[in-house]
Amino acid sequence: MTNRHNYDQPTNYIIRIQGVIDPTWSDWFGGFTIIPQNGETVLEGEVNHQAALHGILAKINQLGLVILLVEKITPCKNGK
Amino acid sequence: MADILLATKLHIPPLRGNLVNRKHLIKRLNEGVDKSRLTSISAPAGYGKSTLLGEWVSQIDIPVAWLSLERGENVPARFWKYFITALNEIPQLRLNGIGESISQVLDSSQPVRMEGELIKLVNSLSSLEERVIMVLDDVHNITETQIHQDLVFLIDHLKRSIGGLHLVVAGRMDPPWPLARWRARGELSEFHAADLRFDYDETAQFFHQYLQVNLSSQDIVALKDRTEGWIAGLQMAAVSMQNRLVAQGPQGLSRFIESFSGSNRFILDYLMDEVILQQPAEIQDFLFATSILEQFTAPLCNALTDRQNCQTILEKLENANLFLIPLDDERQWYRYHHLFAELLRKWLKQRQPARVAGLHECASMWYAENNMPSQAIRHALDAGNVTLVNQYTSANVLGVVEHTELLDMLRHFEELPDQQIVENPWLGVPYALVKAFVNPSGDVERILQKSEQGLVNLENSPFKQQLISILDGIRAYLAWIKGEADQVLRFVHRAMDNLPEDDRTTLAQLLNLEGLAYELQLKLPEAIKAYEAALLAGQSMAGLFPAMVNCGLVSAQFSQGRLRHAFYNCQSILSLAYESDQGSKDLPFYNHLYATMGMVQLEWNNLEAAIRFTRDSVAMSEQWHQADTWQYTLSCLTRALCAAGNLEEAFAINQRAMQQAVRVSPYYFRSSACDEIWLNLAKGDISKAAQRCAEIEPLMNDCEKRGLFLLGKVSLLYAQGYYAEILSVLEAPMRDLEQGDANWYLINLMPIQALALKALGKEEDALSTLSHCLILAKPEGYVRAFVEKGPPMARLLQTAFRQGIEPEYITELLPAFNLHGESYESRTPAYRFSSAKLTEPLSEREFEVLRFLNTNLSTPEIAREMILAPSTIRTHVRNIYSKLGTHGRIETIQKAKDLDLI
Repeated sequence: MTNRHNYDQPTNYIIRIQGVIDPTWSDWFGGFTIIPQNGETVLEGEVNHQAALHGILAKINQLGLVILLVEKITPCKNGK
Repeated sequence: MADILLATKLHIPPLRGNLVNRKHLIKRLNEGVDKSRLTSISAPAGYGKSTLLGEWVSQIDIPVAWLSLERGENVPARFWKYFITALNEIPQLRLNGIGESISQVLDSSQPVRMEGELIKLVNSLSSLEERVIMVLDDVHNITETQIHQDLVFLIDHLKRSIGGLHLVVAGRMDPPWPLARWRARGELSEFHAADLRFDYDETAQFFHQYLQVNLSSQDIVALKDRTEGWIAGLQMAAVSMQNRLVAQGPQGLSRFIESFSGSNRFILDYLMDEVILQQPAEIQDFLFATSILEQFTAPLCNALTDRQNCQTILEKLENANLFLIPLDDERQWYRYHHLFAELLRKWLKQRQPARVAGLHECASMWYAENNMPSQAIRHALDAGNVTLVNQYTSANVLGVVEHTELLDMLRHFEELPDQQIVENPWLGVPYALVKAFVNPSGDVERILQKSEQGLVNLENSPFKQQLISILDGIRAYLAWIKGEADQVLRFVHRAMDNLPEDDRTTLAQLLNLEGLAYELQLKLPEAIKAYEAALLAGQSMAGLFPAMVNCGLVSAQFSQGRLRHAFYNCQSILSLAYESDQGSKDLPFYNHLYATMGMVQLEWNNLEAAIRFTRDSVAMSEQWHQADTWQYTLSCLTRALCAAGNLEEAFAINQRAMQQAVRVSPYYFRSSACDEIWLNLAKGDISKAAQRCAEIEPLMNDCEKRGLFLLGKVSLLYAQGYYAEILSVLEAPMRDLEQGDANWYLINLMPIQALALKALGKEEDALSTLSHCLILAKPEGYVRAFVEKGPPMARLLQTAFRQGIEPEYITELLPAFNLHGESYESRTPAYRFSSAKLTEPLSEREFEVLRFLNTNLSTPEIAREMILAPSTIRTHVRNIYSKLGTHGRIETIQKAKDLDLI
């Protein structure tokens, strides 16, 4: 029971993509935070359901960006 | 106008200048057609998919059908309708009428099981000898699983040999199909981004063509590497470079390439800034404003930007290669390249967020004025403007249903999670509204509650008040469907109390509902007052609202017993409708008018005409599948047939009415059950009639008991010989009916009352009741109400005549008794005789149409002459052809003459 995650609940993800995009794209990517890192960009944020995640992935595809990684994370509540 | 938008979807993108010839890809495409049955091109936006396909199809000899898909096509019915329409654009292709039959099935607003129709389509496609190509562009816009399943089914059944249909799909990602299976069998030819990127030579050729300048190989490599051969990127770079070249000469080019390739900014951000910021302010503003549109034409752009010169701007943009794609050969409709449009929208939202809603509102109003309700609703939703959504959906609800737009919208709403409705109650309100119209027996209450839950959190404002009112309006509508007049009024009046003063649209609808409720209660002066107020409040409303209210008005006049008035008004509403272009839509509430006209004819004892009008009203309802009007028209036809003595068909029609009634509400079912009482009485089956009567009476509310049911019940009591009971049953309701001015009911009830009094030996009272009834009935020419009571009524009328009561009127009435029972048959000998030569006789209406066919009137002209819809005439003509076994008008006329039919 404890291992099972309900994916229809808000869930946090990071998506790493190749190239640097600027933070103004946040809206476009469902409000994900945009963090440039060494020529790559990390998108981090919360989705309410899986459909929303797929929507964001589709938008990444739309811009011709290359996805390096998609991962579910546990947000740190206390800051970094 | 809506068809213009459809035509743009079927339009093959025109070739444009500055093209790089992509010979190697064209060759591979040709090979694909030769050896496989499916070609799939998937790559992100801007890889030149549509351009490549456009170039390719312009070079080949094989006939091509083209369909550009949008998200709106995510409804199976609509998708297949467009698919078939696109195929039918190929003149060589004969789908043997399959397309037409599917379109007809799809036109109904009911959910359709596609398999059967799809098999027909696949069969007719697989029997094709000639090679045909169908291109589905932007196939990623299809997300509906059913459509994908159907497409896979279709592809699996395409011929393997050369010949038949070859499907080409292009989209931003691989479609969710069993591509691996087809790939393994060599049935698939594929292209991905890697195949589409410009290579060095193409990049060089492109810039040479575009700029008319030779770039160094170093520069070309730099540009190709920076863009990775991504064509949209190269195009944007080229636009910027051209501007630089003009402004700064060749040095400007080098500087651009240097900074572009040196920057590690996201290429789109970099290039958009370059492209947009180089444009004059006027163009920038134009680009942002129009970015919210899916497609546009100069007048729409003028409305959005408050300019007059948008045609010039559009031409300028096209010449400057600013990602503008013409959608037709006349250069009327355009769209932006998808990616470019999306980037512009992102800019607009970032830099001028406050403008977005206003632009959508403006677009919405333009579309509404130009009679494209579905686009109008879409933009109203995007603007978050509930007033507009409410205005369009409810004023056009019946018209919109036909085009499956409402169903489409409903689907859009159904995808919203409940939580989102709570958070954005303004979304829940139109959702509930649409659902209430399309599927009133569905779970509308849940949506209403979710919306209300969300409204609690909103701050008090006129907007909130308005939403609360609309919710009550929806509840009122749902109550009306159930026949609960008191509830309707409760909700309507509460809604009116909350409504902000300036919201005339909602007020008009509430008043209309109030009118309907009073009509249910048979308080007719109140109903008419409410309808008239609704017309006044809704003066400025677009679409069909006034026509809808007028139908209510006519029906109330009929209940007031004003036959001539009601009939005349029906005629004038219809002729008005046919004069304006709305008439061509054959609106469903117009069948109410035909049914009402039929009922007037019935009262005048013109049985043929009554049957004709009500049959037409049923035929129109059948086209619409609107359950409540269908039930109503069937019920009227039942009464007309019953009066003409055609009981067998009347029973059958009554059964059909019941089937429809079940789909609407128990109230409608009870109303059809009332008809059954009459029918059984006409048949002489008193015990069956009594059984039905006893079954439904306890389920009825007070208003229902005063209505048609009461007529059935006292007729039953009369047949049973319970005369005293008739008097006591009638006493209270007749007072109410008198107060409510419901003279039609009184005129039909009083003859029975008079006969009951006579039977009880109270001849004086009987005559005084009859006299009262005659005075009411005379100016409107009622006949049937007396005649259908048969010989006892004839005798009573003769007694009245001798006593000098309304002698002139009675003189007119008495001959009708003699004809009673034979008038219908005996007056149409020609019809009976000549029809006998046909296996299936022509109906009286078809005869009439046939006679018109023998003139030089066109179908619309015949329609006007007969006060019918052109589509109804066409249906009659089709029936005539099939009954005579003829094709075409001339052959039909000849055959009809041979058979002495005309």
